[in-house]
Amino acid sequence: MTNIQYIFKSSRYEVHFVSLRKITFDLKRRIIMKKFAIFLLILAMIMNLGLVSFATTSEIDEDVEKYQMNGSRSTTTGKVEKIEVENIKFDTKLLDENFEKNFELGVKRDEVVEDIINKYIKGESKASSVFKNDKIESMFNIIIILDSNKVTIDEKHKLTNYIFKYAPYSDNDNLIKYYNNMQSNTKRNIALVRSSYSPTNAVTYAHDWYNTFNTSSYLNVTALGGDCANFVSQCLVAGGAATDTEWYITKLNSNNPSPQTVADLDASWELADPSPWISAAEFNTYWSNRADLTDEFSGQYVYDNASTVYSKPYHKGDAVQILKKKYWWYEGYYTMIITAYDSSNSDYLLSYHTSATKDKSLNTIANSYKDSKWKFKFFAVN
Amino acid sequence: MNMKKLIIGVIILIVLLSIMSILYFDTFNFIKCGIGLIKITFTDEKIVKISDSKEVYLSKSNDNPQELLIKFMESKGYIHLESERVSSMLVFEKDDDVVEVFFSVNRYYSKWVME
Repeated sequence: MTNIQYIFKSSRYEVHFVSLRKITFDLKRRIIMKKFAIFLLILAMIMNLGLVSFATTSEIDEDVEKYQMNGSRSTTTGKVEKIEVENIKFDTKLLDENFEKNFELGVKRDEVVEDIINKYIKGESKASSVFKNDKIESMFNIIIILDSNKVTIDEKHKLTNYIFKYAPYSDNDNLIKYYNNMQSNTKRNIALVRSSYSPTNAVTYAHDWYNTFNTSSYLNVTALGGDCANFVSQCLVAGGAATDTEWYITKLNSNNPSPQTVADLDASWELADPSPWISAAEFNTYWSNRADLTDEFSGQYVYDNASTVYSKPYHKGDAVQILKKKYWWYEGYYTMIITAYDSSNSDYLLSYHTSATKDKSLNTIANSYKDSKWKFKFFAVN
Repeated sequence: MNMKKLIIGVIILIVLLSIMSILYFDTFNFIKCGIGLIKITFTDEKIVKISDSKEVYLSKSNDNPQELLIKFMESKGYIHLESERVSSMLVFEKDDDVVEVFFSVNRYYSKWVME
């Protein structure tokens, strides 16, 4: 009887305490629960032994694919939207934090633009307002300021970025026309809109070293998984991208210009561990947070919509990665740099290491990566 | 009640180990991964296969792992197509069979994933 009482501790069955039928039922329920737990355990072990093939997340991928086809941005806002589409449980706290961080950063940038507008046009600019009409009014003010040619290069960079950011969503024909026009001009005169980063220098470095290794200053990591990220990192530094505690390399001695093992690497070079300087996967993670703008497209989309991709605000000196699907997520796999344009075919030309290549058409590359396991990701370098 | 907790704990542990295994070794089988790592680290064995369904190998990282991979594939009759290499993907060919090997290395082991 004591045992039975214990079984009936559950408030759900307390009222049926006197019913023997219920007692039997509850005992059965407990036995079933135990059996179910054992079944789960066995299932987990079978899964672990690889005896069960796992259902793919193809439906989710299709949703993502459709979403990507619309040319969505991988900004934090974009990610939140994407998660709504996918309906997958993520660490929402982390997402919220990132969203807040990026939102605050965006507001701060808009406030800087607001100050610049106020400097040149008398009145109260509302560039940091969240209202669409205020943004549109601010963009028209920016156009007046840019046309006056009075701004510094740094101010021009900030104002231009503001238009790049908001004009495509303004639903204002004049602004969209101006934006499209500005994009084509920007591709020709990129040096005017980048203040600290010099794409020209990055491209010159890429063209100088695409088929050889600058081992007097850097290393060659072909034997340790490929040299692509290392080469692009060098190009970006040549263009003036600032290194930091994560993305850096320090030469300790000249003993191992082309390390064959990790021990060789450690003996002559100092890098973060893991290092976004030499690892494509880490490069993706690092530059996704640092780049002014990133965009992801499927290989098929890049191949089919060359002109749309070309119209995006990416320029010479910006990095492009091929991402490879690893189960349900994608990892950086190959790193390249935009080194020229083929405007007649609306195509970017890319250079890279392993294998040494100069000015290869993005469209031609995309042709080999049309499978859904591949994606292309663009990084606007700053 | 204790039994229930124990079972749930074991299941959670298995799931966590499987997730770690898939993240680092491209296979759910953490038991094979663990055995492979032990062999690579503490024995003279240079190459260990840790997954059959998707062929995954571990090798020692302190002995020119890329050369080891090429020699290993050549011993199986494959020819290394150097010009076909893209980043960390090395391409090998035997008759009409083309194998792409995704190669990575860290200070503890080198991983070869064949597709």
